Amino acid sequence: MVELTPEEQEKAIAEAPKGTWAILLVYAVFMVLGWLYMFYGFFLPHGPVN
Amino acid sequence: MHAQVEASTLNMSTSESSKSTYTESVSGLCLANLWIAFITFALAAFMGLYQVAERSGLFPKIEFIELYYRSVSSHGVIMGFVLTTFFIMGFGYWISHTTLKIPLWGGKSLGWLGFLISLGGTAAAAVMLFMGEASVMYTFYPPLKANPIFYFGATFLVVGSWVWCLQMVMTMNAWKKLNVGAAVPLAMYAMTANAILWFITSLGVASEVLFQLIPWSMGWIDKIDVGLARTLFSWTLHAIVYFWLIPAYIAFYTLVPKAANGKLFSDEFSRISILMLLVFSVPIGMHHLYVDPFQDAGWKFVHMIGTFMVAIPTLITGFTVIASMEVAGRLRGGKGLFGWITALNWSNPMVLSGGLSLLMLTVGGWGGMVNASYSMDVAVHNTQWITGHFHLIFAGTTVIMYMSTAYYMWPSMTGRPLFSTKLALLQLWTWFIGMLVLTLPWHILGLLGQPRRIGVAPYSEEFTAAWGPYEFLMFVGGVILFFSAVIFVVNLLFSHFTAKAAIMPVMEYAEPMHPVLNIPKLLNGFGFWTAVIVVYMIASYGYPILQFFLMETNGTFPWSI
Repeated sequence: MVELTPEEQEKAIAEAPKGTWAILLVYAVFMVLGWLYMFYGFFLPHGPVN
Repeated sequence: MHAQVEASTLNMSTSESSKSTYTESVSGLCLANLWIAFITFALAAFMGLYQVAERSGLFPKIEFIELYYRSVSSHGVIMGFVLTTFFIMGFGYWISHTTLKIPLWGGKSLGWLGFLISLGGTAAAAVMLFMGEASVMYTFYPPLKANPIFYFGATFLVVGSWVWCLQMVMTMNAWKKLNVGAAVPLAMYAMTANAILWFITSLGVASEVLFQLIPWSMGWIDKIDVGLARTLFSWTLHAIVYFWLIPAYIAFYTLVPKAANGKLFSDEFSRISILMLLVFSVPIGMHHLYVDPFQDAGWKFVHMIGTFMVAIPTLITGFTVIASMEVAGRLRGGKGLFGWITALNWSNPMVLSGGLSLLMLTVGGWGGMVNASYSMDVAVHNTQWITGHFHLIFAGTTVIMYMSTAYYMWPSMTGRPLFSTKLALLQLWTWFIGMLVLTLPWHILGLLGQPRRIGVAPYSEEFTAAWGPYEFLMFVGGVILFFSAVIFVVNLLFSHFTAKAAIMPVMEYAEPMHPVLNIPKLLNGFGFWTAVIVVYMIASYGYPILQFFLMETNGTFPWSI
């Protein structure tokens, strides 16, 4: 753990959470691709439970 | 010293506080609730181990169909109703005590009364379950019929929890009267939302049990309207998931940032998310009835839209919690887009569980989008996919936060440090790994057509041959989870015997990055939102229930009385 100066602490708090946005973007892309795969790749060729 | 800290926080003199009953700790009441939750949890975990062993086909000598269903029903009822209800009541009482610092409305004695009512009901239901008189699964859908004592027991469990609901709401209101205009502490606000959610959602199953299942099981009526019963249970069945989940969200919002040495990204955002969960989660239960014939497709579509609306507060929660962790990581010197992740103190059980829980929520949420899609549901309906999905969301995402919350609360309740933090970290990792090893194969088995809830699969060898490797993995996952459950309970138990801390540990909650100075009334109360839920419930459940009074129900009384 690195000790930050008060100025660095203020900057860390004020900074936009870019990493969070990046994670959520990746997550959203995977969710949409996953859903599309299940619909077009599994459900349509497979149909109901058999 | 504890009393002095609380008195100074409330700006009360010590003499005033000494007259007040709030200085009496409710830790006994909380620990009683939590130990009932965790003892029964250990028992249900053993049943889970038996079930995966039985289903795996690796141990033919333990394959007893009747015992399997007895075990599945007990496991489901204990995990879904007993672990959750008692844990949430204990957590709720402790939040009320440590955040509001005023006497519990109705006093501790009322809390004990509710506890004893719930405990008595649980004991009665458990005896019936263990005797094989209630092998009706945790959904107890008719025409499966249990001994009436089971239904009475379940009713008392719920009625006891209503006492807790009342105490949460009234204690929060009493605090607001003492602190006019001040923001209710977030943890208490969210727990009160959960109490309101639980009361409203439990009315569905309470109606089913009181007006249909008990008269039917007592022999007062000989026919039961299965469609009405399933519709009423659906009223409870989905929102109950949020009753389980909101305490995990409380830990996400108020405990994880604190444990990470950071701050909550936004108090207001968190309140909006909780309120959206409260409003959207109750009137959407008919997505459990997608293939049932007694509700029209239009109603199911309405409920599907509502189901997807719940994704919004879930994403808000994801954003708020990850952003809080990002700030904490940056305050610890983390740089770059993802450098803050490695800077976090992952050796803290609360921080670790927060990360692992979010990972499981991601996978479970993806699976949930598939089940919730009206058309696609038929590809996985009633298969092992569903079991995999709800275990990831409940047993994974939710229960791992219950575990870390217990580790977090225990020192402040007992005055003793946790027996072993290393053991806690091992336990959380094994719970996470075990849950993935158990549930990912279940998703695949579901896609391969394996039905859920079955003890044996009397299908052709050609059909079941592909299941073998996944069933083996399922068994391995079950063994890991059982090991994890045992060390969880052992760690808590041994913590009662560690040396007393020199200074009474205090339960601490995360402060928001921007202090809440002016809170809008809509984000600090529930009157308006309760009215919105009632209107939404009438719109989405009014006619679907009313129709049973209007149409031919094959000789059953519509309300079975």
